Amino acid sequence: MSNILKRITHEPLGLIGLILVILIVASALLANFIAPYDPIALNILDRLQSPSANHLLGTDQLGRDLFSRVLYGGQVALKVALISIAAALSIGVLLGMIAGFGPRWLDNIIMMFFDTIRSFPTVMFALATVALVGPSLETVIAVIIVTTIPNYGRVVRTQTLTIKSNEFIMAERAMGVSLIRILGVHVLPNVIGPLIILASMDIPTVIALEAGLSFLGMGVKPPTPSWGSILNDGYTLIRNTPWPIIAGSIPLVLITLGFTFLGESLRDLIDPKLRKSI
Amino acid sequence: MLAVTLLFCMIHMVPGDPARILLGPKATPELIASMSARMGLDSPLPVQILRFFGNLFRGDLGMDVVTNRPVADIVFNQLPYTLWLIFTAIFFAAMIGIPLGCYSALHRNTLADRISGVLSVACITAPSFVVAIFSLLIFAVTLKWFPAVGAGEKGAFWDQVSHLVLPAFAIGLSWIGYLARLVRASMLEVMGENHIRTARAYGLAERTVVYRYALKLAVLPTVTVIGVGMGFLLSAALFTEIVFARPGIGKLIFDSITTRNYPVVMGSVLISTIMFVISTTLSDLINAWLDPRIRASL
Amino acid sequence: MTENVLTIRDLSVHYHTDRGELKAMRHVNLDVPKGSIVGIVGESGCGKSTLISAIIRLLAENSTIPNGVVDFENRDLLKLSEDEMRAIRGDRMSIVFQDPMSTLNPVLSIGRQMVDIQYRDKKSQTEKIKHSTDMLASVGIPDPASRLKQFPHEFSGGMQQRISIAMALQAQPSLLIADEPTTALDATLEVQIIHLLKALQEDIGCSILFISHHLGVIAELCDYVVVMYAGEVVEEGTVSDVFHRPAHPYTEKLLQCDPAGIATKSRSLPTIPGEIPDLVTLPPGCIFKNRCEHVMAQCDTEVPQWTESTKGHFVSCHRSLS
Repeated sequence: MSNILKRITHEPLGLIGLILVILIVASALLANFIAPYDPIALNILDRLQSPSANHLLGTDQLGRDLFSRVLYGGQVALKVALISIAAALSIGVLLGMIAGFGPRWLDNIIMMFFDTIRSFPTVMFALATVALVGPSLETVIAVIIVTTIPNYGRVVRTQTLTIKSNEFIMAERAMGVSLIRILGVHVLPNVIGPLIILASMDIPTVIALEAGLSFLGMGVKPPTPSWGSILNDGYTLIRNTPWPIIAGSIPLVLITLGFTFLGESLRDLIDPKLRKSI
Repeated sequence: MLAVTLLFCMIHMVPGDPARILLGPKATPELIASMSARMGLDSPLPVQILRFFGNLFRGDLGMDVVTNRPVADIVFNQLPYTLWLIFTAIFFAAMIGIPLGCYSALHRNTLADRISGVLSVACITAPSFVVAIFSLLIFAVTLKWFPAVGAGEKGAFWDQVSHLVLPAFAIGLSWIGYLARLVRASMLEVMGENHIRTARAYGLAERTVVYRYALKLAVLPTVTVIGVGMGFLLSAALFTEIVFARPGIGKLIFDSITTRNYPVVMGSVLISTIMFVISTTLSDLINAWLDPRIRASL
Repeated sequence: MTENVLTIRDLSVHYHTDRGELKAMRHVNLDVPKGSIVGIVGESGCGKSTLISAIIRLLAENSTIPNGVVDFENRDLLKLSEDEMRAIRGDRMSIVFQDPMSTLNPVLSIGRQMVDIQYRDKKSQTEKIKHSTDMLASVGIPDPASRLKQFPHEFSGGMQQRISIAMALQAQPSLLIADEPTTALDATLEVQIIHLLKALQEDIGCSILFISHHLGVIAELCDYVVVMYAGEVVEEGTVSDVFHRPAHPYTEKLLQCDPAGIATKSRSLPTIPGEIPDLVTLPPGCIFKNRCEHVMAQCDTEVPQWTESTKGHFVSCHRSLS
């Protein structure tokens, strides 16, 4: 692990990515301690202020401090990202293994689900679901999980299928080695690398998706701050003050940049044959 | 097909009567019943699905219960705006991205290459709606270079163009980065292949070798990528249309979902799915046309 | 002494690598008399490809040519500008490469490719097409006019190589370089291609530089042969001189190890023990010394000179001088 860290920091982009990620994650985790104000505290008198010493990023139309909202918004983003990707990974890996090792008809059904989900533009699927069930953070997370599962499921399935037809696996099974052990010892180690890369590239997408949905009013319920909802407020106020927009977009851009740079460096390290075109 | 059916089922599995939701809390039972009948909700589910597809084949997407116009009309009215937007965005992205990728490949590992590499990655990562909002802020509101809202007057060409610029930019920006990286990798691979060496061994000018032989081959993957990326394009278009208050399929879907206007939702989602299928098929066809090896295996 | 179409003297090529300067080719001498077929024989890694790349000057970017003269039709190719070289490539001198499937452009019809390389000619399009059709006929492609419109993958391997040969000879070059043209083909096709080359060479009167590691083919096709080892030319002479009276220990070994020349059955095929030395840190003395049966004290310190042992038969070995 420390070896990987060292090599990432040698690449300038990887270093920048790592710094950005750490910065934003830390600020989100520590939001409770470093936020100067309560993010949902109203203060109409101070509304629509530009940045100042009191309010680092200004205030929005209800007088809420934007800086604090941004920090807490980070918590939302992280929560969404972690939960949904962790869940999608677990379910995806499981389904992929089942599809790979199980009977043919099961594989076909699972793949049909995967393909259908993948062919649907994610945002529309999300919108449709949210419209039916009502906007909430849980809905967003559920939608993201469902739409992300196929990404991991396919990779695991391919690897499982390849392993399954390997001769030494047939030998092991003939010797009575349990399926679980085979999966754990042979399939998992091979998929972990690509999965980590996929997941780290998915994090920014997922965060952007949550922000997008919140922006459309389909995500978190007000007054909970999310970077997307901050942008939504900013959108309606666009002719009055640019600060909510700036406040909402900066962390989004920084974290997507950070994770992408990080993911790229990771990929170069873990999958060296991809470097040949460089 | 499956996707649409899935959507259909989803809508009907939702707790709460769609008709009731549509009409709001003040509806009387009689109204709800008649609305249900109009929406066809009083028949069992399989019949509804069958009826939907039956109507589909006749080109009938049902009636918009709110405005009482055929859904097909509404959808096809909005479709051209989205199509214009997407095509302009791709065109713009290709015009900049492909040459950029080509230049990077030819001058690899120079400073220019590294810079454009970083920029490409940066472009890809910026979520399109953020770009949309930001460009709205900077170019439309602050600098007032471009209009902020709508698609422009019907029939006024330049007006429409000026309304297209920012939204197309918002969608196209990430594609510039994407295409540039793709073309760069593809060019590098093609340039290393043996037949390029042969072309040089016959004394063909470097320019001919690069542009007529190598680039043509290198561009092939972009066709596939764009065809398959239609899903992303539609999502991006959705956000952009909302941000810029442009008419189009994306905005239509959003509006109809928020107003629970199910026939319109179904119709517009269906059309988008069809568009997606068409675009993947189209890109396969174009690929076959451009690459004789694929033609041979068809 | 007949005139040479190609004369190489003292040619060296070095590559810059991370490990240091790789001396891929050192002080190579080569003669290709007009109208003759010269074979280059050597195992993989002996420098054959570097030699060809150096002659047509399409070497990799990290290469340098520290010394040498490549005299082609009385011009030193190493001194020409890139434009002047381009004028020669494909016109006065052309190449047939090893694997025809990858050397032909897969997305262009062969007619298009054959006409494209005639870009220097001031002929009309129809005339160019006719010329290509005639060339295809001369290499034995049936129904050439309609096959011009087809793509490389629609032809078999043997036919593809014939097409490559047709392309190479289209401009009636003075020198045709054939880089292992039959290695990717099976034995019957190999024979056909060799006969084709022989016939065409007599017809057009060009010289051929034929690289191969197949000794039998060289014996059948070539007038002269050059033996290369680890970046050096170790022996040069007529085919009968070199193959029947080999002067260099390496050539002797090559002939012994050639499966076609082995008369009695044995359990294992003979090989040459040892490996090619590291070309970055060159050992002093003769390059073959660590694998040579006849190694002497002198071989360890002195690089052998390129000398004429009998008329027209050159070798670089201390043993033959003593």
